[in-house]
Amino acid sequence: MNCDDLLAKLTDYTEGASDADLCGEIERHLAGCAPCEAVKRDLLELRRLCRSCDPPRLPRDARARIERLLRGEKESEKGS
Amino acid sequence: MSVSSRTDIREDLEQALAAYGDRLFALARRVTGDPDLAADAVQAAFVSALESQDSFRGDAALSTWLHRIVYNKSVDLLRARGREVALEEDERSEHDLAQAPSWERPDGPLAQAELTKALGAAYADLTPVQRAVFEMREEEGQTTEEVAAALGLGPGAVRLHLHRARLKLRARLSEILGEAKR
Repeated sequence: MNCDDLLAKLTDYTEGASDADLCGEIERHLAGCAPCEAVKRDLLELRRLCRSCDPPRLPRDARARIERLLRGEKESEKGS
Repeated sequence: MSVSSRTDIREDLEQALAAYGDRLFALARRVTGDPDLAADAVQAAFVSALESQDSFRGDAALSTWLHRIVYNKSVDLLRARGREVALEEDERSEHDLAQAPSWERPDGPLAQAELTKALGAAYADLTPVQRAVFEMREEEGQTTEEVAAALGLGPGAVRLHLHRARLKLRARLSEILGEAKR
């Protein structure tokens, strides 16, 4: 397995979608290839970063408009 | 959450809004890159859900259905407003994308805020579907199968979009945070 092969399979690997033989090949490559290991580490760090961020909040006025809409109150709604 | 009967749809939608309205907004915000447009997309999605409730298949999760409508409304609004967005995939290979150096983690009390801002800017390089896949899989933590069901894709296509999105975001973060250090 070369670096391009590894890159093409990296997300399947981190998503648990690779079979055991392929996982073994990938892990052997990563153990001996610092650049590919760095890419893998960065991608996992990116996930950790994303999950540590609080999601943005739906603005209060938009939430209120949708609540009124769902309660069937008459008003001129945007975006319909 | 599944809808037990059509007469319950308003109540179910109210519960959905309370439970994950913020996540729907986060999806719309990532896809549109604009908080005002995102709020309009979420509202338009709930209008559409009410109007098309007869087409909702009760065996699907309500959240799956709503995520799909929010995604579609977000893309529709982007197009309607003529916003510049990378609707087509760029031609950089995985090999090219992977050449970017590791992104440098900022340090200090504002590190998280700086990273969050850089991530928001880096999303501009992604196509709408890549933005949606990355947001739902990596930020929201939905499974590949859930993302696939919501976006009408196969699991393999979700992983492919996720793969491109990850490599492009990594490359862009490397540029943005590298420039910030200089």
